[in-house]
Amino acid sequence: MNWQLIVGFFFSYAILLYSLLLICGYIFIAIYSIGEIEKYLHKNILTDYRLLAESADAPSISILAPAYNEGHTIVENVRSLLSIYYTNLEIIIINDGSKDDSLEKLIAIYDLYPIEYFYNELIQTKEIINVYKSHNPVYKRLKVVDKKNGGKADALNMGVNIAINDYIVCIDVDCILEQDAILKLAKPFMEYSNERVIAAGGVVRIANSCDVENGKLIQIHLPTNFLARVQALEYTRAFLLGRMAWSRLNGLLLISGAFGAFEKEIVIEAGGYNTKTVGEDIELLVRMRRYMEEKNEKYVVSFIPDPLCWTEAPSSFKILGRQRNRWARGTIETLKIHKKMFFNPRYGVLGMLSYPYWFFFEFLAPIIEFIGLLIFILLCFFNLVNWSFFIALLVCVYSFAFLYSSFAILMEVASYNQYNKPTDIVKLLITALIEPIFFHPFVVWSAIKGTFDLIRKKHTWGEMSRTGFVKKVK
Amino acid sequence: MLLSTLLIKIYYLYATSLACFFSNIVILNQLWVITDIQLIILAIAITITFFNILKKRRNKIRKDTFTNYANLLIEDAILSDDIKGLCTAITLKKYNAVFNDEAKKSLFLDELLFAKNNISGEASDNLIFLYNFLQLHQYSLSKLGDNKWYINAKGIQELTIMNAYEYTDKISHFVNNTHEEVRIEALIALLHLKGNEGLDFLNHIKYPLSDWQQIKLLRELTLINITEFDEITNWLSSTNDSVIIFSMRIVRRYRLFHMHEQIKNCINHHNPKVRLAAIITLKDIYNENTLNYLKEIYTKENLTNQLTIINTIKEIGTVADIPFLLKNLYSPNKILILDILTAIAQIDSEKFKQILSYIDVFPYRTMLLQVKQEFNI
Repeated sequence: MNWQLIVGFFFSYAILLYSLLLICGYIFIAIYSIGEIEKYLHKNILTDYRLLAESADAPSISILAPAYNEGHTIVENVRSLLSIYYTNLEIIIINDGSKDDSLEKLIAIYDLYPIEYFYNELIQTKEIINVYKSHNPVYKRLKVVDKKNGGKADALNMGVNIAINDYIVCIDVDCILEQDAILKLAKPFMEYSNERVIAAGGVVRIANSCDVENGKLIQIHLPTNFLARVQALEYTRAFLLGRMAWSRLNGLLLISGAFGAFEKEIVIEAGGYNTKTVGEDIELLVRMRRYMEEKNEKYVVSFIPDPLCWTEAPSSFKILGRQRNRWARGTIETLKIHKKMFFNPRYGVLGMLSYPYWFFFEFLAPIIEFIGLLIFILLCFFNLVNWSFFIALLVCVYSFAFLYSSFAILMEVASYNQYNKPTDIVKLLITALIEPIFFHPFVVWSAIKGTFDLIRKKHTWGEMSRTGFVKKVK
Repeated sequence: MLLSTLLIKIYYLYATSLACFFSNIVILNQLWVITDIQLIILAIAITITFFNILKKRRNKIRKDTFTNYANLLIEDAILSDDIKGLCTAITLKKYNAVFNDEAKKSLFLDELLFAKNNISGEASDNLIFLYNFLQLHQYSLSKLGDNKWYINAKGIQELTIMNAYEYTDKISHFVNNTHEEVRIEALIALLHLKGNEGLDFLNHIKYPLSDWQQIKLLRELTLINITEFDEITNWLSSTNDSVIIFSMRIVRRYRLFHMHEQIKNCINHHNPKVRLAAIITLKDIYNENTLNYLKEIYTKENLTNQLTIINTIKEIGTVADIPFLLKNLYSPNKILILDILTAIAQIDSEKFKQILSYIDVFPYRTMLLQVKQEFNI
């Protein structure tokens, strides 16, 4: 056996081991999430959220919503936020140097006026221009902060400095929150007596094709656009299975930037959002967790399976590509910043399980997949493919992917049943069949481009134009 | 040239390794077996998915139909002057048809519980009579014997809402249950069914009470209208810090002014959370000495507690406290300074105007203008 053969032998077994571990990881996540979802649903039956709404002891919360050029939707979005059902609440809209008429619209519609406002710059940010409040007492919960453009992370840091409450809920301003979203998200912060709950997240769902009126979700529909529909399936898989399983392990590394709650004190002590990464959401949580581990303080990152936040998913390949490119760069940047934790037992589950999982199966997976594809093309070119094995492997992996998506659909139907028409489920199943062929390669390609962009030190957010929730109830 | 050599090397490596690994026909067969298994599981998953959808749809239709029937019966019971007569009128045949079905029984009970939670007085007693007449207490009781925690918790909740005093002893076995949801339902049940005596658990509780559990217990206290807390002094010296904090919530809720001295003792507790609760509580039951005690501990306290003390002075302070506020105005913490200025403005607007007239340095000027705007001075 020559050395090439030996290297090849080990290489193929390494790839096989990697794939088996990945598949085992998926199986574990799917099975492990069931218990957590079940537990939550059973607990929910015994819970009266009105208690929290009425209680003066409920956690005080500041909602932070950064806005950049959201002129065509901002008024409706703020109206939606103002209708949230919670007592101890302030709503802070941070206009991050928008070039459009966002601020003017807010001033006109909500009768805003500039106030003298001192804020403690605990986290350094770009310069503040003005803070606005409303003359109308109906909008007394609202504060609008106008600042120079510094990006989403900088705007959120400004929100953290301005917020007066103990907990912050960071959301994308164009998201639609369920009316009881804050009540449900606040509860985990009160449930633990021995551990400190540093962050909590809820499920984000896709709002494309849903009926929206006055900033409120009226009727849920499965997206008609193929790309949005695939993302609906993808989000169901990621939130209902992945995050619930990681939450059960207390190893969750990501709370979506679109909707997540954090303990303000820990956010500040950990240094706030990192403005030098495009993955500020994952980076913040990893840093908060790392901070708690280094302090040797018991903590929990909680996740609830309730669909609390609805967002518009990219419906064109161009926008989707930018988003996935950014996600890939954010992941790599975060892993690089916190490389000290890699298989470091000092960081417990975080260092020994969560970080390595993200490294091997989130960061490396697209790279390995891409190289595999290149090699496959080469093998085809040199007519070296063992087709019977190739077909057997392909069918096996493809059926696993379809099975995993089908399981996620089953969990969704068994739990929240948002897409409750049989035709919707058929459409979702067909989407699950098509996804590995049309959608997944594109996501892999975007991640590869993101990796290259990072190597080339390209540090752009990528414009995320929205069409807005214009569909009204007939 | 270099690139093509490299590519050939890579393909050679990959091809030889794959050939080595996949030359075994057994593995090929195993792959197909795995695929078959996956497809079988897939078929089962899809079948269950559609079965679930259909089941949920059927249940919804059934629920809508049955709820109408259930609500009619419940309305009759609520409005009835003769509940015994009404119950007798429910024929055995009709009863069997409806309540032999577990799902219908459960639906009816849910409606009954919902109604009971929203009414009181004689109408409420009628619903309890109906509950017992229809043997639903046995159904709830059977849940206590189940080995699933959430069914136990639901059973306890049902018996509590329906004032099932005779099952107090059975419920008390659950106060040390390993599952916290069951434990808290049992504690609420004992409070509901035994009144003052139900608070005995606070003397020997080993595990901490979370904030959520405390809020639930407080709500129950309000509902059953307990006003005497004979053992509260013991609770305030408990080794379980959450019991002390819960007791202080009781003091605040019921404005137990006579507990001032005991609460004052808690401001020296080793746990900052207990001290914080004590400061907040003292604000609600203050006397002429309260602020003196708080001012004494101010410098030793952490920032959160200092802010709470300043907030307390803002709420209940007098001009006599202005020198203390001025003394602490030059704190390194700017939020504290802002709160002190707010307190000064609240207590003595003239003093605030004086400060406003001579401080012209950023950020203090901004703070002053913010407070000025807030208080319209």
